[in-house]
Amino acid sequence: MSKQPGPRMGDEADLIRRWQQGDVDAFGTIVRRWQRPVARFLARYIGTDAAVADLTQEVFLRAHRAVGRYREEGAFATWLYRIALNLARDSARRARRAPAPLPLEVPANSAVDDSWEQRELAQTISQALAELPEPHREVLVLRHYEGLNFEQMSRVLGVPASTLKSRFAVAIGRMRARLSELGFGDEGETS
Amino acid sequence: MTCDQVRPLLPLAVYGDLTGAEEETVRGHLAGCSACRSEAEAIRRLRTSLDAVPPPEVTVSVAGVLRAETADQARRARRWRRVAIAAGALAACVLSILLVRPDIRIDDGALVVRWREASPQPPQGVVKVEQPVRDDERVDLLVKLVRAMADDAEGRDRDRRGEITALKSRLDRLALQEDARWQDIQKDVGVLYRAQFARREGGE
Repeated sequence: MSKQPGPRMGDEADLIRRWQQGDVDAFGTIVRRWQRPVARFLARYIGTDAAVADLTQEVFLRAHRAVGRYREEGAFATWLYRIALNLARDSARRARRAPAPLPLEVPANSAVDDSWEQRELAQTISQALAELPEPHREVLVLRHYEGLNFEQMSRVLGVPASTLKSRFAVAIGRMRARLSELGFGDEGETS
Repeated sequence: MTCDQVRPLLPLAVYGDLTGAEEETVRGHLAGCSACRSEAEAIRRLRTSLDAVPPPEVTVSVAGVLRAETADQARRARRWRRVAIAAGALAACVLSILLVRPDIRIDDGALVVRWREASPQPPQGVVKVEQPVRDDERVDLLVKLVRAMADDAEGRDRDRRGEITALKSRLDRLALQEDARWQDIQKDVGVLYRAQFARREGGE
């Protein structure tokens, strides 16, 4: 999935300006546009749906508090993902001290193919993702699921793009190896 | 480019993240290398498989965010109010101390603080609390203090004057001694001169 980093509407800058001036409707529009990408990022990052709703709510609360200081023209996605990333990291740290969470549960009424095998693949991928080391998981989630390019990721993560490219290659390799171990060798073909 | 050099670039190639030149090189290599081609194909399949995980359905409550923000602002306001009250209380303390103007001084080797009715017997120790003094008493005390300081200054002046006079007379004595010594030297020189002259005249 090579998608753009969330919705990019021409009027986004205007919406943010209005939001900064206290326009609640503009804030509501921003929330509706970005809640899914943010929730998806958090879910992939922390590997469980359990806390995603609360964390997503918290991301927008923090964004709302900080929007007065937002100055990154045209880099709203970077700014928002940075907030989400900080929260996700905090949550992951707390989770490491708590009992290990169950892998992401795939909802039965998902929009994708609802076959048993597809659901099992989805659960296995979630598990493999959750097992990736944090730096590799971050880059894979931001590149694959959120569609950020390496320059944008560099701004979000504060790491040189060249380093992130190496991490991405390693992350892909590890995912393939782990999926193979879990019985999904060659991705999707049950071995 | 060898297979070992190309393999790390394959994920970037599949995701379209190579530069033009890199992409050209990788494509050239893949055209002639079936092993790397199948590797790239496996990464492509992984990319498709990763989308098997559906995104979570989450709806953020804008009203909830605004409520939480309002509650936060109220909490911050309460905190600032507490700080302001504490600062006000401190300022009031400082102000009242300035207004009461406690008299703090060292008397007979003891620190004396006067600001209110004192106990009949001052406690044994360093700090004594005494009865407050009226303004005229305070003025009397000040006058006495100034007089004592003036007496002290006069006494010191007297001592200095005496020392200076003694020094002056000593200098005068030294000057007289010096004059006397100079006259003796002059006499000696005259005697020597004359003696020298008489010897020469005798020789001639």
